[in-house]
Amino acid sequence: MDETPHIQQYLQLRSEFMGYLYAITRDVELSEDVYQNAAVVVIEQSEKPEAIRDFRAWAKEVIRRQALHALRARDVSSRHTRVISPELLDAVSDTFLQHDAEASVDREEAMALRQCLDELPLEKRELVSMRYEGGAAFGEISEHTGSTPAAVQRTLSRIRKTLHGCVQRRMGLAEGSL
Amino acid sequence: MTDKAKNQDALEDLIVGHFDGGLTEEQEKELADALAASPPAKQIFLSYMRMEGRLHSLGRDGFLRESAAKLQKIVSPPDGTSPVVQSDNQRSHSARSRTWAASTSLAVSAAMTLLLIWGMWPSSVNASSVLRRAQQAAAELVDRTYRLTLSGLDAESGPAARELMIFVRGGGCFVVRPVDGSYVMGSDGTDYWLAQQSGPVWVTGDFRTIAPELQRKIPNRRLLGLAASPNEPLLMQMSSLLSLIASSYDIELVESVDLAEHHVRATLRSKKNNSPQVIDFWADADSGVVLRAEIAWQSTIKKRFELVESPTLSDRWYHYSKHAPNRQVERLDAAK
Repeated sequence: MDETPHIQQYLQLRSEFMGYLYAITRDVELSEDVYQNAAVVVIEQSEKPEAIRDFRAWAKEVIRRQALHALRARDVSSRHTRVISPELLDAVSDTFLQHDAEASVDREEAMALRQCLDELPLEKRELVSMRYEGGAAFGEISEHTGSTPAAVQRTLSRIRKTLHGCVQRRMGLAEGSL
Repeated sequence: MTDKAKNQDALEDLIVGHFDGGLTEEQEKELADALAASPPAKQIFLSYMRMEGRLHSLGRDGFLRESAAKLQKIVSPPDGTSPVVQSDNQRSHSARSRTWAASTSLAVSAAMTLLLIWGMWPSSVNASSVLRRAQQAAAELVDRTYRLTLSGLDAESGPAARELMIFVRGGGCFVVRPVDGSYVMGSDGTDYWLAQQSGPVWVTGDFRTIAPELQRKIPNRRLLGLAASPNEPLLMQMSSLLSLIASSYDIELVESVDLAEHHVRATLRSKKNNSPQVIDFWADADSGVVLRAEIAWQSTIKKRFELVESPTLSDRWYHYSKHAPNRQVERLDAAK
């Protein structure tokens, strides 16, 4: 059994958990809230005497339940995009629960992403910053760039595909596997 | 483009479209079917999912802006000369060099004195004596400012790190402030307190037992790594760090290239303990004051203290009223 404190293990899994949460909520703030609430569960569990045999699997289930609870509680307002279909929600959740990548792969991917971001031209880098750091909607970004929301969405879509391809190449997985 | 590449490209469009919330019902069904039927599609979705999580984390922590700003500097040198790339580390080092300029002359003087008497005086310095002197210096009611760099708090931190300024004084007083000013946390020797940029000041007499409650009330992402660990508040104070070394570590004097300082390495006796595995500290040979300390856990987490300066601060500096004036105060232990 991994003797690393649970909260440290939990922090190390952040990108995977946040990626899943964002995939089913498409709402950064809600994803952060769920992640924080699940952290409290992890901290409280650490104070209990029962041992957890597979922390990663246990934490994923905590995340999934907290996320579903949050989704049910969330009022669908104008700032939220259309709610994910139950079929896709199940498929994404199953994919997440079955996934069991090694921590070393996670670290290498994180490093590769940072290197790939550094290779992006300035204007693309700024778009990524506006979207992921400022949390700006496509419409807000388009006001800065003087283009249309659809054009911003297309550009960001291409940037992410470029980044993904770059990460895969750096990870030695350049060939598609479909 | 081969059919295989086209299929992958179409799948990636669906995945990216899903993260943007832009899929139609039919496209969502198509993506759900692909995930249910194709293991490779799952792998591609998962790698996009992790990337999306990382981008949000990097954005949250300000790393995207930092790099974009760095890139801007390269592209647009202010004086029109050829662009010169200065890394974050270099910039940090430059600032540190300025801050250390005054203390360097003292260190050089101390080194020269030591060089003069070296060989003429029998040395009685050992790891225990260095530790004792460091503890005495840390207990003095003298204000010292350390730069604390946290790295490897999670797998995403990579080469980057989080930086905080820590003001410490004997008697358990400290103030911790991250460079972005998102919160300020401290202790006046009696109570621990924490304030964000707005809202009430949270005060407690027992930080460790209150951590889960604090975490509920203050969902500050940068704070999580600090507040969640039972060791962190303890190690905010240099005196506590040295006491921990004295009680639980084997210590040895390591040969130092700088004669003006002593280097002690402390190795945790019990491997099952959650405390850091190895702590290195460098103490000024003259005053005993800890100049630097590097703390490494078994995981990737590392913490580095560097003495920046010894300012004279008022008693009030360690009280929340100095850092969050006119705020409502909420005692967490009283609420329990």
